[in-house]
Amino acid sequence: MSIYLHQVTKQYEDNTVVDDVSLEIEQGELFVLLGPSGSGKSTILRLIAGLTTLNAGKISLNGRDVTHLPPQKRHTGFVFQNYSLFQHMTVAQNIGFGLEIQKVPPAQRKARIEELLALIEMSEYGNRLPSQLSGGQQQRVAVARALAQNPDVLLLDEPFGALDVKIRGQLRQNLRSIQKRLNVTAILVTHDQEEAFELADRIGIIDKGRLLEIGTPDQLYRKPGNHFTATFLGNANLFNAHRNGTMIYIGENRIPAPPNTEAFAGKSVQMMFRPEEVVIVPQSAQLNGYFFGEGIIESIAFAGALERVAVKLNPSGEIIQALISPDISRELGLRPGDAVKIGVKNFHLLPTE
Amino acid sequence: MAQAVAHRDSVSQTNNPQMLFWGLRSSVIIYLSVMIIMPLFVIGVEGLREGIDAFWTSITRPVAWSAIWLSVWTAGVMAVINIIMGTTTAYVLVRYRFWGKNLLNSLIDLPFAIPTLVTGVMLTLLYGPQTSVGKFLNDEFGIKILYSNLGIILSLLFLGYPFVIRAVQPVMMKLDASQQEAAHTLGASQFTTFRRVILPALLPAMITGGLLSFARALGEFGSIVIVSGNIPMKTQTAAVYVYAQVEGDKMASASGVSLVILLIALITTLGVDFWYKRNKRVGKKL
Repeated sequence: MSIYLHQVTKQYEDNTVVDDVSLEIEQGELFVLLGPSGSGKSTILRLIAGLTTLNAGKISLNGRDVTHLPPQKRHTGFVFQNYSLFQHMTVAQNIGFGLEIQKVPPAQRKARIEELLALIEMSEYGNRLPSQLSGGQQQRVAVARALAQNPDVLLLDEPFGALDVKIRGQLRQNLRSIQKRLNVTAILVTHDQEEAFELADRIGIIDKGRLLEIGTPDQLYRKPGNHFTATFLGNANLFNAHRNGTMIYIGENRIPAPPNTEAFAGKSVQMMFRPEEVVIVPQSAQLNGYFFGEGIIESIAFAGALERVAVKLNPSGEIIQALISPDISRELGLRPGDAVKIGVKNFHLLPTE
Repeated sequence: MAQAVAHRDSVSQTNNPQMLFWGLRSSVIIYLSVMIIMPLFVIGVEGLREGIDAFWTSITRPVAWSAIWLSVWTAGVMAVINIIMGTTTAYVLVRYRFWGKNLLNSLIDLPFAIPTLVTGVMLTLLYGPQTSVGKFLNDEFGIKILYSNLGIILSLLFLGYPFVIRAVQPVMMKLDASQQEAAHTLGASQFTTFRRVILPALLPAMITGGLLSFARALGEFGSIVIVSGNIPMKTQTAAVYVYAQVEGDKMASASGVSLVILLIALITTLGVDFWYKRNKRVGKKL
């Protein structure tokens, strides 16, 4: 186990910023902490690096208890959102700074700097000053500087936040390939779910200082464990329901309960399905999936490769969001105002709030 | 006709940014010439009117030379102390929150506003031989502040205090805490971080402030004339010496020493300019 957090808590006066967080991260894993701003995700990163002291709990890196060690002795590499390069030093001096502090002999240091410059594909830039580089280049130098001493863990705090969308995409791929090649354990903090999906081996969802759940991007998207995850990761249709026997009851309608949901037996639940799981057809005969209800099409909007359809459910008036391919919509002749039948291909159950 | 021309001119000036710029630039150059360049020119001419030899004799007279040297070294000592204390003060003001901080922050600019004669009077009242503090220092430690070089340095310190603080403070505020944190995670101790990361970023501003206070102190007259006692070869600074020469109607030796002070000030100002540009380059993306 590379990183181990046990019941870590951080409070500022009355305000609990990190609340009883426990976490285990494997060697070589890229773990993403995902949450809205102010959720405490950056504080967790700072606690691991020792830049902030914790109130309670335990942190160990590669089996070494670092809970009370200063940042200098933790062997972490930290990449800040604003790059934080040393402005009066060249790129090479920035990368070599930590090696110099550790008194690595000059020849060895030089070789390591060149190796890292090659890794970030900036071999020509060793003698530049940070002010002469673009934002993306500065960020790559910051990553190289953090990796120079082969840290136990690479910590990245919103590393692409200040960059424009196109460069962000490139840098993500770059970071991902460097991280896999070096097999370095990394934790990345972001509020951008797209970024989390693209990079993460596993994601931890943070809200109000609590680590709500951990899973692979696919698991969290399709089978979230709670309401917050369901709504934070993309759009979700959520309906109050009740599980009884082998069926789910939603209003007048009933649908067979999915497997492995016995824990909810006899309880109120929330039924969740993503817009792409919704089927909209004019006639019941055309329906595949489970019959969910009837409604009137409110609007059809262009959404790139798919169309976003809003259907008003009869008789409750609740809105169901659907994503369907333009081909199917044309074939069925769907128009706003049409009466339609609604089906659901796959759904998931959540505990009620 | 003249009216029409004038009218057309004013229209074209307001409509034409080129003309506006040209007009503004000309007025600034004329203003600068009248207010600064002409006096500088006159003193240059006056100082050298009787030839280089006479100029040289006027400034190498032991009394003149010792006055120049006294001004330079006391201003230098003040600048060094000021750089250290001013930077420390700026650090305290930027990094800590404490009761009375705003008051302290406004007090710092007071030396800019207090007439320097008043500064001299204050120091005399505090350290004069008849006052309790002055008497105590003299009796117990044999330290005389009034009528000594120590008094000169003290009054210079008083008026030079704001310069370094005001130069360093904005740079320090921009200095991101995350740069220090980055250095810490890379293994650098507090001291190494200060020496390798913070100090290099602040140094241009520190030197700029130090040079400015040095240039300001070089010509200080009001407080020194009261505090120093004006003893030739001992506590007479260049500015006070020049004043004595003007009083004695010896304009040639007055302008000779003035010219030297002027040259030193000019070199200092060029130095300020150089460091200011460096400061801007390094500070650009802090």
